[in-house]
Amino acid sequence: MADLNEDDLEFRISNMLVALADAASGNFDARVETDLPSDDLVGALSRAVNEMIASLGDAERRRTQLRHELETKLGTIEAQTTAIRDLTTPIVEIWEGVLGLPVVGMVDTRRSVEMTEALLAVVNARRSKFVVVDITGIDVMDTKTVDHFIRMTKAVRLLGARCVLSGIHPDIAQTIVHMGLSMDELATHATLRDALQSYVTELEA
Amino acid sequence: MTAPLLLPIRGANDVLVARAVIRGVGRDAGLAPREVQSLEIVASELAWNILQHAKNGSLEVSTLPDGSGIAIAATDSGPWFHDLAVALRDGCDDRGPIDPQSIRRRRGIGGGLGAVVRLTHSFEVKNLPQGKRIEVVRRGTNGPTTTGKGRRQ
Repeated sequence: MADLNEDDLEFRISNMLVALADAASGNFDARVETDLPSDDLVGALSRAVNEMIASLGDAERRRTQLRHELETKLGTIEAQTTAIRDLTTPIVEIWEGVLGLPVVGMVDTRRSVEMTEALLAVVNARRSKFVVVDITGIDVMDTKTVDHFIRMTKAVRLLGARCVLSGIHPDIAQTIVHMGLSMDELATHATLRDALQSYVTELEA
Repeated sequence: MTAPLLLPIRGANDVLVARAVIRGVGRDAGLAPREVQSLEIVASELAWNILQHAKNGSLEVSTLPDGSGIAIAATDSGPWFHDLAVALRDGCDDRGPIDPQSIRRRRGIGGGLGAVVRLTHSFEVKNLPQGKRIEVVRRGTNGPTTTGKGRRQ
């Protein structure tokens, strides 16, 4: 150990403490400067402190990078989920004031809730006058879901637009009749084309 | 019976995946498109229930030994049904009617479990030491073929 006087030793130790305090508060750039050789205990300690701070810095950078990658991936998944949901319930403005909601795939209770929410928001935002919900692609719907669908058409009407269903599968037609709904409550058309035709005819009249 | 396929349900993406897998299993078993669609609805309702009430769990899908239908088992570590009869009632969760105001928030109308019962031919709930297991079977043909004409509670 080099012959250091007490003041010098105190100075060197406080330098190390400052560097360690910096590292503890997240700044890994601080280094202890030393002119002492490695075989000197104080010199070796200074270098050890520097190495430790350097590897802490590396670890921290690596952690930040991994977290960033993970967040990016989670963001992508989130975006894909939203995209899939949007894709499965596209609401298209066919004509000014006329919305089309082609439903394909499968409708469960959750999807019926999401569709209702999305449709009401769009009808409200665009001040739509006529909405066709086309369910040609749907073979099966549970009674409770059908019920929610019919409530959706009524809610659209409350917003000042007309809402009709088209492309009802025979089995779903039976379900609706079994539910004891009167047809006055529900406007239906055989096809999307028929529904649009009826609106156009009405406008011309 | 073929070895059941185990589908973990931990998030919304898993529901989509499970649905796609079950669609494949149903088609491979030679079921009609409407049967496959019914199965998809059943799987979807069971999976959303897992996410809503237990955070995570799994679906097991298998083809019946005679090939006549598909069995789905939904296992989760969530609480038992407080009252199954009430949970099966439309517009209710397992404690009673749900508030219409809460439909948007919960994204449910309290009809999922009822739909599962109506769209399947057997429905059984087993309480586990930690969690529960719902086992359902949907047969291909000669069963209740239309919505609303199936079994009602």
